[in-house]
Amino acid sequence: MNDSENRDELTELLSDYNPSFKTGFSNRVIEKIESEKLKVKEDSDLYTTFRWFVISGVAAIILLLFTVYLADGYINADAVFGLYNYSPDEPLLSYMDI
Amino acid sequence: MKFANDLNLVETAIAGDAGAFREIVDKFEPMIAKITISMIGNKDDADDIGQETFLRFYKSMKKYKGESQLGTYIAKIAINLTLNFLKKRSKKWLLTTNNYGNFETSDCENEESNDIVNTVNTSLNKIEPKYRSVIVLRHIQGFSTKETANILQLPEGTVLSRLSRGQSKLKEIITKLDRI
Repeated sequence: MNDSENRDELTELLSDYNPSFKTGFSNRVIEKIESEKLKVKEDSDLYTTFRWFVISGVAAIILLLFTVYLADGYINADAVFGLYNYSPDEPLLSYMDI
Repeated sequence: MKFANDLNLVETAIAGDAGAFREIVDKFEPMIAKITISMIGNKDDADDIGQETFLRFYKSMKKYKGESQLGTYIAKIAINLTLNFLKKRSKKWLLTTNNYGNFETSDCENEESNDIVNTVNTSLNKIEPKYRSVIVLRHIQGFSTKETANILQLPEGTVLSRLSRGQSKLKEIITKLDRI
């Protein structure tokens, strides 16, 4: 049997082949799109919250450094940790000497 | 609502008209059902792939400029999702079965139609996805060789040779099933 005969026979057989989805397919598609939109919105809300959290943290650090600079005239690790006037000879936790 | 053409329908859907998008889904649902069910066999999996097809189209419809038929554009998404699905599934199942998928029997109410769907599904189940996809697009969906080549991103010559081999294999399998 040649290609053309095969093709004709299959075309005839497959012409009655009409599978279909279960009813309500378009509703399921619309629901899926809506739930996807909701998910994207939730992700976006989470991202916005996280972004504000990071911005607030960075702003607080900048404010702290600026305050340290105003108080001590320069910024270094000792100044940031409040050890600017600390001498290694002095006990760090002087209240323990009481 | 009536639309002059598919591009007009897509533009209306992009503008936010949910009714226009629903019309696209309704218009192409039978085509996507034929492609996914005949490729996958399992109706539930095919339904999921069908939904995913329209979801992907929804996300990317701004890119559609009418350069090809809307049906071809959506069929391309469906066939890619289907082939990816089959690839993933075959990794799990090829080790345990001689078939290329999990084809279920149809639950159509019409017995004759049921028989045809079952015979075709069982036969398609026995041929490799690369032949099956060509047969589904050319014979079941009725795309031209050029459109099939475009959807599968293959040269037309490859489509023709796969079609020829696929036809022979399918015909052979169907004849055997008929004898049983």
